[in-house]
Amino acid sequence: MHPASKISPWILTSNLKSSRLHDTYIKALPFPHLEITHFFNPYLAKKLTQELLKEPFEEKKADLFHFFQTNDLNTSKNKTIQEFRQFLLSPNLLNILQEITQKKLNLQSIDLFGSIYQDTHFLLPHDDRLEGRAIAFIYYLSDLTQQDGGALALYNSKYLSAQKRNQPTTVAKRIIPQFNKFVFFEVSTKSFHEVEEIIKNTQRVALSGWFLYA
Amino acid sequence: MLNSTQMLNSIYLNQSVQTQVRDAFSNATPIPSITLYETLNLTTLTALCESMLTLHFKHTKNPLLYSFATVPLPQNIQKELSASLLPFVSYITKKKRTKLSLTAYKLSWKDYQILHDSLQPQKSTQIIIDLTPVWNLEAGGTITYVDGTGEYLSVPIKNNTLTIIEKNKDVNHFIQYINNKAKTQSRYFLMGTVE
Repeated sequence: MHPASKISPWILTSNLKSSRLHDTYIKALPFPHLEITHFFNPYLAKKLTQELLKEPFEEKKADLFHFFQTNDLNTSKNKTIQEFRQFLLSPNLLNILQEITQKKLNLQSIDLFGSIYQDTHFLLPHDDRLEGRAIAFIYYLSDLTQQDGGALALYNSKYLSAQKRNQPTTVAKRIIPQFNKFVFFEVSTKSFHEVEEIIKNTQRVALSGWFLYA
Repeated sequence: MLNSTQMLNSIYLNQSVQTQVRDAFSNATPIPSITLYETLNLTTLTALCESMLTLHFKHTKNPLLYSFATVPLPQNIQKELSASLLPFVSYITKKKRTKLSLTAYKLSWKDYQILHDSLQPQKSTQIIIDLTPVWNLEAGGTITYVDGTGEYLSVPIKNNTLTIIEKNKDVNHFIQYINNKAKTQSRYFLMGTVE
């Protein structure tokens, strides 16, 4: 049994020895990111998963992606999802994230979606850049193995020219989805990443979104 | 190499069929286009499919844009195809055509091309000759043209089809990501422009 945090029942105090986290985050390659395992209260994480799967998911299919996604969960009426959203927007968590990332974050709003990837689903390389996005996050709610696919692949990049700017080159790191793992990274001209194709009969369930600039 | 004076299936040499094809092409919406089945005669088709296995494809990947293997179609094949296709395409599109430029494509698991202006000629008549021998449609790989208004045209994946598309500056295409259902199969086609 993990001790509950004074910050929120969602978070575990043992993971908040964060003086080192800024260094780890900023030095991470190929671009600043952090992955924190067992970050949230596991009981609530399971409850959140159950509640998320009650939300309507819509198939999204285009040249860049194929997966199932919820509507913007800011409008969800589900109590557990709203509690989780409030937790993400809580000043205490945002303060920690601001200390780690050195970004001034919006305390009022985030973008938050649920997604399910299953066999053959993918999201091709992109950088997530869109006005207002400061930090991208993924909170994994299922366990996958390396053989399942579905890893978050982070790309090395190379500056080509003023016109072409940075371009992704090779995969530098793969993050395997693990239940209750929270991953976040800085959205920048270098933050090229993809969700590799799921190649087995399994599901990658996650909540993801963006912390926005203040 | 192909050694045939007329490479088209004899049915497409019939004047009344050609007229029907021309009418269907010009009336097609949202994008003027047509896909013809069993287009090449068997001798030509066999020779082309065999040549796909001996060409030296070069795989290139720009992660943000595409991943596939290509090789310019050898001049001798291009010349022989031109002799049959240019008069036919000229008739269908109601415009005299004198030049055929084709590239051979080979796409396998994990290959794709996203929708992007930089990968497309602005305005052209494009043709696609599908030479894929066997394909699981669940594997993806469909070439889809979109016109920017939400309308789209998906080109069937079918061996020995010829697709002719009149592309304006707003029409672009993408090639759907090929997933693990392709297994070890590859998708082959010739794609290019007629001028």
